[in-house]
Order: sequence, then structure tokens, then C-alpha cells
Amino acid sequence: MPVMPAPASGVTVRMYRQGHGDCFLLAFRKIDGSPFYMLIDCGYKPGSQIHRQIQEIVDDIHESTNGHLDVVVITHEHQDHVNGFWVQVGANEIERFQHIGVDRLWLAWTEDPHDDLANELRERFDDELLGLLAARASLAAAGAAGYAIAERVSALLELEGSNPLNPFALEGGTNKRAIQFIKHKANETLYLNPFNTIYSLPNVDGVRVYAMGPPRSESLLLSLDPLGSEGFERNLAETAQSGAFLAAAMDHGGGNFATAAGNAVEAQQPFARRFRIPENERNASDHAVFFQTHLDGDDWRRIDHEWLRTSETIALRLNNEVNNTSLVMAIELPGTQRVLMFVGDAQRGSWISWDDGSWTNDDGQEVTTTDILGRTVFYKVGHHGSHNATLKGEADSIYPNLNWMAQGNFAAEFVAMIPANEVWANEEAHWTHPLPSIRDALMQKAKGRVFQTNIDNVEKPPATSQQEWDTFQNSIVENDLYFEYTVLDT
Amino acid sequence: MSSSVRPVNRRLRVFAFDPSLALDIETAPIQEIELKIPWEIDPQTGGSSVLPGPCGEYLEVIDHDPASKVVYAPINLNDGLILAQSGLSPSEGNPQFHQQMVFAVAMNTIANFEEALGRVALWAPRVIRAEDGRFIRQEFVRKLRIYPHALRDANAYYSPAKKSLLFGYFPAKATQEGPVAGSMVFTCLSQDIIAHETTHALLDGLHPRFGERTNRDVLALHEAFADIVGMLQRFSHPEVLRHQIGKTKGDLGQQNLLGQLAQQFGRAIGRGSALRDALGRTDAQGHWHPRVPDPDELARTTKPHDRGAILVAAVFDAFLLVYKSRIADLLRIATQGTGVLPPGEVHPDLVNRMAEEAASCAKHVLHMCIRALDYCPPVDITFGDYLRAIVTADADLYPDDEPRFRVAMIQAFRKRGIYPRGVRTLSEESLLWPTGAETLAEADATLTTPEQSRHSDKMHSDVRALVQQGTNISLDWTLEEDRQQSYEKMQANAKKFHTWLTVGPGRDWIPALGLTLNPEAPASVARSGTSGIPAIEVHSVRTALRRGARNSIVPELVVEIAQRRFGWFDRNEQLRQDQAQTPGSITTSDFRFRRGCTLLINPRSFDVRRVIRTPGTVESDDLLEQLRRFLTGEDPNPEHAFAGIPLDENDDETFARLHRLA
Repeated sequence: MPVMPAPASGVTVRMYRQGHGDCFLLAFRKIDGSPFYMLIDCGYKPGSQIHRQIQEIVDDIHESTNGHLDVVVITHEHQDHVNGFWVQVGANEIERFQHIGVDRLWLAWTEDPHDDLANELRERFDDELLGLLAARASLAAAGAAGYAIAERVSALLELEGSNPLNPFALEGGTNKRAIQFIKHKANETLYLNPFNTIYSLPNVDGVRVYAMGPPRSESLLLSLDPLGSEGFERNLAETAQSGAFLAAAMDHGGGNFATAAGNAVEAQQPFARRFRIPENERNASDHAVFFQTHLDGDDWRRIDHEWLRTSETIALRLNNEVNNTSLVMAIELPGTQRVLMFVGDAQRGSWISWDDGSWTNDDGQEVTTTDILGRTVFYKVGHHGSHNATLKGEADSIYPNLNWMAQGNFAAEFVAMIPANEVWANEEAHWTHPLPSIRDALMQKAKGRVFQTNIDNVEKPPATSQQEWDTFQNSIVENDLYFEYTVLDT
Repeated sequence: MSSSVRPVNRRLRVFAFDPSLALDIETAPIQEIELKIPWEIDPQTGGSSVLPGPCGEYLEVIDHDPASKVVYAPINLNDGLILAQSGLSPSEGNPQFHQQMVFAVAMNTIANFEEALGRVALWAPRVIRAEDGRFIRQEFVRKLRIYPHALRDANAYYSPAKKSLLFGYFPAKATQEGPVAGSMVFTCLSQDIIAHETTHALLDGLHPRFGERTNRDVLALHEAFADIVGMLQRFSHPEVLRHQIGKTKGDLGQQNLLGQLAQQFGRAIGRGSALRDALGRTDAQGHWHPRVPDPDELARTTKPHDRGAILVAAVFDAFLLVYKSRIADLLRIATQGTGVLPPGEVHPDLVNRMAEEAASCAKHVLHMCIRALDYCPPVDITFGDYLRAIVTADADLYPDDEPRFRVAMIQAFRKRGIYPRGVRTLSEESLLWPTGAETLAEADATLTTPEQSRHSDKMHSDVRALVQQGTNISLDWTLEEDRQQSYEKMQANAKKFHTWLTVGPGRDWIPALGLTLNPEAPASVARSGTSGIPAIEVHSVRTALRRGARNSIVPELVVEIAQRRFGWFDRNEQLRQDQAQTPGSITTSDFRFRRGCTLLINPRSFDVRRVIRTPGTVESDDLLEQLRRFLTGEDPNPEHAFAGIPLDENDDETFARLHRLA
């Protein structure tokens, strides 16, 4: 494969087809005429490969960029965004990017070790994760139904394929270690904050990058699902309320977990000691017959492991919370002011915060989110097109949504890319990715110009004119490895 | 013990709402109330049949807390000291009081159901399946089990698989009005939550298919109905209302108070927040404003909880309408006709009268809503169907709508945008489900009047044959009967009815009931054994004795019939299965498509009083496609979000997940 050329003006976007996950390579032109490469994420869900294996994708990135990336952006720490860089399989650590040089790493402020709010969030996250690993071990040991839940918890914690019965293996940190790997390679790391600062690409003239997320607000980070009206109370409540569950989970996990739980186990007991009859002494108590009859005698109604189901709820919440820590970037081209939106896997809480601030450009003019989204002609669809990662609404709705994008003259140029292997998602993972109604809305808005990882060719809808379609076809490449689309700046 | 001194009721103390009222000096006086629940008698000894647990005829409370690795000793309600003081006094720190409270509130809910439905309450039978999912048999379940401390989660749910209610507890978060941060909140100490979960179990016993998500309304209705019962039970305690009404001073005209009371529903665990939104909101100054109903809102709303909240709000509106009209005269008397109360405290006599009116309205609306359950289609119910059920059930029992409960109900539903499918106008008359004669006539619209009367004659003779045939349908079913016998009679009656319908005179009714016996039906329609004829399932034949206008006893036979068809998401697969040469050999599919019909028969007059059927038959490809599109999320839904299917369809704990993911 030859080197990926940078267009004379504008940017070429390449969506790799490694499977269900994100990997985008962007080529801009530097002032000296040489190409500037930005890579946004590199990962996939194991088993979701389509035509090519991940190593072939990484090899292509190497060849296309002469083994040198100017910027790597990692939107958030999920497997399907990072395991292409580095991964641990069994005892083996595979450094897939070993031979690729990286100048700069861009991360969201939530990864910044010197940011107090980020540290606080991370600490709580780690506490909950530890409790969940304990709960997962108990579930996995509790028969087939329990094991099935343990597997769902694993998937939500992005720990597929790991052994739930051996939870103290370092697997929980795999995704973090992938980020560390790139961090060590990079000459410098930049943590992007939403609003105020306008970021630029070194040696590229005029391209501006606006960060819109993750929001610097705890309540918004924890707001996951679209709501009919505003009310973040419940989600906040849930995090505070998991304490009793986590203490019990650690206690049941035994060994190191129980040690780690310490005093919390007794502190979270709901009743004073005088009311408690330990389970294993109940048949020696005054009420032996009562409990023998109803617990030992009525096996089908026992609830010994029911309480562990809560782990699934917490795991789902943690998974969503991490999605909401996605770095959200708008990349603006200097000439036409066209914008490309890369939203990671941001969910509702992030979306609605995108217009909580603004920027002032070099000319002293205020730049607003309304304005930026209105000029958006390219949208990297959030979270494989899942139900809560693209907000629906109208151009005049009060919160940012899909229809804020591509207004006026920009409406005719809108293109979307969905990084999803729909077949794998539906059949193997049982996820509705992308959600049909989101895909339909995108198809309509983009007049059919919607790429999706598992669909080999974008098909012309009957309503789109041949001339319009030919223009589009001239600006794209479709092959087994990737789709490519160029946004011109003229 | 002589029956003349045998108690009628057992009195048990419970928290009026939940323990939070005790924390506020204003509400502390009403933190506890006394519930009167039926005194259960052991027929052998004549004494109380409630054993430690408490374990009675309907419920068994088993206090196993697996997360804490402990059990708690069961309370003995017949202990002399406990009997003497109407049970233990309310206490958060004593698990035995928790056992007493769940038992008392759940029994109170059951009693309301039995009173409204006019028969004993039965839990859904336990279905025993082979490893491969094949049905083996079903068993009678006498007692619903309650675990007051089953989970460490802000959650409580009914488990259909275990026929159990599981309640959770969790450390509270910091709020201004609620408990101290970190102190334990027990879901089993909230009247609302106990009533809500018990209602799920009762509804499952009546309508097992209402747990199947076949349209936007089904699960929403399950949730909403449970909330309606919880809310209206809350309003049926005059002592609480009295305190609150007395507090409102000159503000009575707006009646905000009852709305506020409804709004506190489920406050402890954040449940019911959708309901709070539907009813109104509190502004920055702490003043509550009712929300003006928006008829378009329902169409924009897809989540079960949010849709449910609209239905609950509609019922609440109806309750308020009737209540207001009933106290209008009291207000006029008290204000010399001005309707404007002077500022200051309201006269206690007036407070008492108003509280009594509110409680009696609440009870009536509650019974209307429960009674409607016998007037629902057995599958695929919508909110509109439920409105028709409420109206028809009430009209059949009380032909005169004197206090105008039905008008209020229709008005409130219309304002919230709840319309039934296929009804031409929203008058009471057109909302009534059709009678048997009307249904037969409608099935053959070209009939002349004399022919129509022949239909009526035919109906009478067919139904007479059903009731009086050699295999007599058993009618003697009362509130006093042993519940296992009731259950077995129901099973036996179902068999007899099935025979009448498939090979007896009932066969002529098949097309009019939306059923099919067509051997040429698509092969995916479930077949009866190897006969090649589409299978008809008679789910239940239950009897009811209701006390109607002028205290007349109205007997009724309620029959539910359903058919099913196997569905596949892949349309080509569906086509292949539809055209298969060996109908009846299918065992698994992606989903089930069901149609069905409920019949209400008066076994004395031989009238088929009502025919309540779902549209179309199982042969309809269009309706099958509609269900497929709904299940796969292909239906464009006009909401704020692109809503999807976050639930795992393979998980049988529907309610566990429904509640948590709310």
C-alpha cells in the first residue's frame, strides 16, 4: 500500500474496517506540503472482524503514514477504541504500534493525573470496579444463570474473555495500559478541556480544533440516558447508593476482597447484631424448623444469588460513564469553515453540555456551538449508532442534537460514518448497533451518504440525483481495509 | 372460640407512607396508621391461621438477607403482647416490624382486589419446564413469598419465576427533606412500594400475558396500574387526608394538596419521578403547580415508565374531578355561597367531611380500576383498551353514572391523549365493549332485523348449552372458598369451555371472536397436537360475584381465549416457516404473536354480555409485521431520544430490569 496522500486542501478521512470499533486516520496538508497524520482511536471488539485482521490494519497505518503519526487522539479508555495499540492476550503483551512513531497524544481532561475532579471520579470508579470484580467472581461460581450474568458484567466492564474466577489478575487495567503505552511513545501529551481554548495542529495552517466534551460537571458525566425532562438526581443517587452492595460483594468475594472491604462490611449491616442470626447457624436457632421448611424445603424460591444481579446495573452505569468521558472534537477547516465532528462514544449528558460554553477566535469573534454544529458536514456517529449516543431533536430545539448539524448551504454536503459491524453486534453481542431509527435519520439527512463498517459499498438511494451521487463517488474510496472520504476546503 | 367473638379484622400498625414523615415535626403526628386486614381463620381450630413469618393463607414472609449472610427471626402476630397493641410499633431498626408492615400492606392490597373483583385472589401458577424449555406442567401456588431484605439496591421487584417479592435496602444519599446520608433506606417500609409490587403479582395472576412487551403500552400498563393502586390506596386513609386538608388553610380552591401528596409517591428511592413530572412541578419558591395535560404528550413518549406516568396522571385527574364536584356543595355551605374560604384554619368538621369524601372517591376509583381487569383483552392490551375496560365494567355494574365517575374518567383520559383504537366517538356509549349479539351482528353486517334477533336467540341457546351441558360449568365460587379448589375448578372449567368452543355449539362463534380454526392457516400458527388445526388456548374461566347498584349480586363468568403464532425477525425465515409442509412442528422462534378474546357471560340470563377481542386474527401478516417492527426498533418513534431495546429479551426477570433501568 502506498503512502496516504494529503489533499491539496481540506482533509481526507479514512475509517478502517477492523470490526466493531473505532479507528480513523486523517490526513491534512502541512505548510511545507507534506502530510500531517492524525489517528483517532484504534480498537475493535474481539470476534467482530470483517475482511481483515487487526494486524493488517495496523500494518496499513504504518505504510500509509511512513510509520509516523503527528497526533494520536484516544477518545476514551474502552477496548474497542484502544486494543489496536497494545493488548494483553494471556501472558503475552502485544505491542501492535511498536514500530509506529507518535509525536503527540491528545486525551480528554478526565485522563489528566493533575486534575482534581478527574482524580475524584477515577477513585470512585476504581472502588466500584473492585466491588464488581468480587461480585462477578461470586456470580460465576453460582451456577449457569449466575455465570451468564457474570459474562454480561464482563462485557460491560470490557473484560471479555477474562476469567471471572481469577479476578485479581491485572486485566482490569488492560485498556489503561494501552493508553500508557502510547503515552510513553509520544513526545508530549495534551489534555483537552471543553470551551475557551482553540487547539491547532502544529505546522498546519488555519485548522482549528474545538473540544466540546467531556463536560466538566459531575452530574452531566453521570447523565446517560435521554430523558423527557431534566433530572439528574437519580443517577447521582445511584452512585451513592451502591456502597452497601459493594461492601457485601467484597465480603462474599472472600480473601483479598474481604480484606480490602475491612470495616465496611459491618458498617453496612442493616440491623444491630442482636437481630441477626448467621445463615450457617439458622438451623441451630429457635427458628430452625421455620427456616428449614421455607428455605431448605422450597428450593425453587431461594434467592441466595438474586442480589448479585445488581452488579449488572452498576457495570452498565460504569460503562456508560466511561463513554461519557469521551473527548468530543470539532475540526474546522480554514477556508470554507466546514466542520468534522468526532464525538467518541459521548452520550446524552455530554451532548446536552456542548453549548454550555463558547470560544473567542483570533479575530475576537465569539464562536458558538450552534454555529459550529451548523457548519458540520461530517459526523463520526457516536457509540456505533446506539440509542443514547445520538440525540434526536430539531434545528430549533434548545439542546444540541443531530439536527443542529449541517444547516443552510452545509446541509447538502452532510456525510456520516458509523463504526459498527451490525451483523456481529446483532447476532453475537445482541446489541442494536446501529439503532435502525438512527440509521434511517442519518440516511435521510445525508441523502444516503452513510458509511457503515460492515457494508462494503454505500448504495445510492433512488431519491438522490445521479449527478449528486457521482460527485460523492468521486471523493470516496471503498475497499476491504477502509473507507475514505475527502472533505475539500474549496 | 365462639364465632360471635371471633374478630373480623386484625389491626396492624404501619408507617403511613414511609419512615421519612417521622423526621418532620409537621408530619410526625401522622407518621403511623392502623390497617385493618382480614382475620384469617383456621377452619379446623377456629383460631387464627397466621403462623410466624407472618405466614398466612396468601402470603409468607421469609426474612433471608443473603448479602448480609444472615436471617432474621420471624414475627409471631398472635403473640399476646403484639396482638394487644395492634402489632409492633413502627420501627426502622427492628426487622420484625418490617415483616409486619410488608405483610399488612400486601394483605390490604389483596383485600382491595378481592372486594373489587368479587372472588378470591390467585397467584400465577408455577410453570415447570424441562431443560430445553418444554412445558411439563403447572402447579398451584398458594402463597406469594415476600423477602423484605433480599437486595442491597434501590430496587424492589416481583419475580414471576419465584412467585416472590424481593425488597432492597440501600444507604441514603444526602437530601434536604429525606433521611440522613448513609442511613439505610428500606423499600419494604414504603407503603407505596409494597402496594406496587403486590399489585404486579396480583396482575400476573390474572393476566400472565401482560408481561409480554408487544406494544408500547403493555409494560407501561403493568407499571401504571401498580402505581394507580399504590396511589389510590394512599388516598383511602382518611386520617392522613384529614391532617393534610386541615393544613391547607385558604388554599383549598386549587386542590394542590392532593397533587402534592401524589407527588411524594416513591420519593425515597426516586421511583415515581416520572409521575411527579406528569402531575406538576414545584417551583423555586416551593409552590406546587399542576401541569396542564397535553394531549400530544402520549404520542411523543415511548418509555414504559413515562407512558405509565401519563396513565396514572389521567386516573388521578379523574379522581380529582369527581372529588371536586362532590365537595362543591360543602364548600358552598361553608362559605355562604362564595366558594372562598376565609384565611386561617379550616373548620375541623369541614375537614372531616372533605377527607371522608376524598377517601370514598379514592376507594371507588380504585375499585373501578381493578374491576376493569376482567374487561381487558387477554393479550396485547393498550391504554385505550383499558379505558374501555374501566368504562364498560363500571357501566355493567352501575347502569346509572350518578356521581359521574365514568364521565370524569373519559374526560381525564381524553385530556391526556389516551384514545382507544377503532372507536368512532368518545362517548360513553361508543366506548362500551360490544355485547355478544352486537358482535355476531357485526360479523355479518348484511343481516336484517329479524335475522339479528335470531342471533340473539342463538346466543341464548348456545350459552345455555355451555352452562347446562352434561359437563356443567362450575359456578359456585365465592370469597370464602378454598383457593386451591377455586384454582382447580378454573382449570376444569377451561377444559369444558374448550370443548364447547372447538367441537360444540361455540364453533359457530369462532370467526366473530377473532379466532381461526382454518387448517390452511400459515404453518407458523401454533397447531393443536398433530391435527393440523390451529390451537386455541382457553386461559381461564373464572367466576365473579359483584355487588352492583341497589346491592344486587351480579354473577359473571370471565373467559379468556388466545391463539399464537411463531414469529421471526428475518422476514425470509418467516416466509419459509409460513410455507412449511409440517405445521405444528415448530418449537422455537424469535418471538410470539398472539391474538385473543375475553368473553363476559352472565350464567343466569345466558347473555354474552361483552366480547373483548384484539384486532385481526393470528393469520394476519400485517399485524405480525407491525409487531416485528416494534420489537426490532424499526418503528420510527417520535421521541426526544432514539429509543432502543436495552433489555435482554432472554431474561425472565422482566420486572427486576424494568424497575432498575427506569
